[in-house]
Amino acid sequence: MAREGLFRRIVDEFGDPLWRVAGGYANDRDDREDLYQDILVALWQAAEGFRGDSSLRTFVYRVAHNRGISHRAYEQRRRHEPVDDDPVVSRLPDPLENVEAEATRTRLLHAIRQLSPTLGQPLMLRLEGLDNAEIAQILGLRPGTVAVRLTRARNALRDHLAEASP
Amino acid sequence: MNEPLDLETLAAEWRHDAGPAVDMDALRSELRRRNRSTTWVVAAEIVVTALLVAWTVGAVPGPSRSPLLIAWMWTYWAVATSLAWWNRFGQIRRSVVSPAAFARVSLARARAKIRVVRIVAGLFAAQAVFVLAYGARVSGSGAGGSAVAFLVASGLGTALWGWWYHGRARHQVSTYEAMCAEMEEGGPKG
Repeated sequence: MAREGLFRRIVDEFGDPLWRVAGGYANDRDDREDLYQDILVALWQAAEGFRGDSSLRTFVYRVAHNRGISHRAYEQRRRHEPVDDDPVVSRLPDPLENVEAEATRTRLLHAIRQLSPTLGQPLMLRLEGLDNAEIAQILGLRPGTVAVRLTRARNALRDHLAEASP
Repeated sequence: MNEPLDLETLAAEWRHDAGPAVDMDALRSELRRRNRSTTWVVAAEIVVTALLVAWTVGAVPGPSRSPLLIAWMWTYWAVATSLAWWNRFGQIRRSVVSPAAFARVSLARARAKIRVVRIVAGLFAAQAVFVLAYGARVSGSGAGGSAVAFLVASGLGTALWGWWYHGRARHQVSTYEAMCAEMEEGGPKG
């Protein structure tokens, strides 16, 4: 089944990035797992209509971020201060990894959650390694606008991280 | 304090966050569950509509049957059901546009939801006029009492639904308005 094949490819190639996108929009761990599942379901439903007009990466990130936007709009009434119950844990244990590194990653995730989607989206895509042109393609913006938003996002992130520093 | 943030270092930290393995069987079950749930809701809507129409037609004595009353009942439920369908399936079609376009469409849809509440309230008011007129015409009979009881019950149900739906839609409108205003800053491409 073509749709299932495409979906498996999406999960193989983008499973971890999608989990991180979910983390950027969710309130806590449970919320993140729910949103991750919602994103996968949305991708499954949308995969039938994928005709290759855009790259698979553009398609996947658009569906994921749009689902994240909806999630924020529906959940904002119940939104609360981020709680420290979603520690960032690597799938493969690294003997060199220490508690401090995990705490830094968790602070980064919580700082990103505090950004508005306008700043959070380009920043999350940049952290995934995409360049301005690719981010502009996904977000439907000019590359110059992406650069401006990334500068603002970087400044806001620095402030949030400074506030969260022990 | 204002030293530049090293995005490359942060990116490396960010990409350490690995997601759980996707259980395809669990996902298939979830999809089946959602499809089943949609099927049940649609089936329930059809059954309730059919029962209400049958009950209304049956409750009105033959010579007094008002085609207009029945037409209003049908219109009321047909409009409500088709709007619900439009809302449900619009979600999938818009999921692949850019986030800025998605926010604009979502704002338009949230505003449309508020209009839906007004349309349903208008239809209900028109229906109430016909039902009350009918009740007055056949006052004292069981049919008139049943029609008015139905009106009160459906009015309470509609009011509760309208309060909940309208509140949710208003919240979405304000959220998407703020999002769109921020996203339009710097201008979308094209």
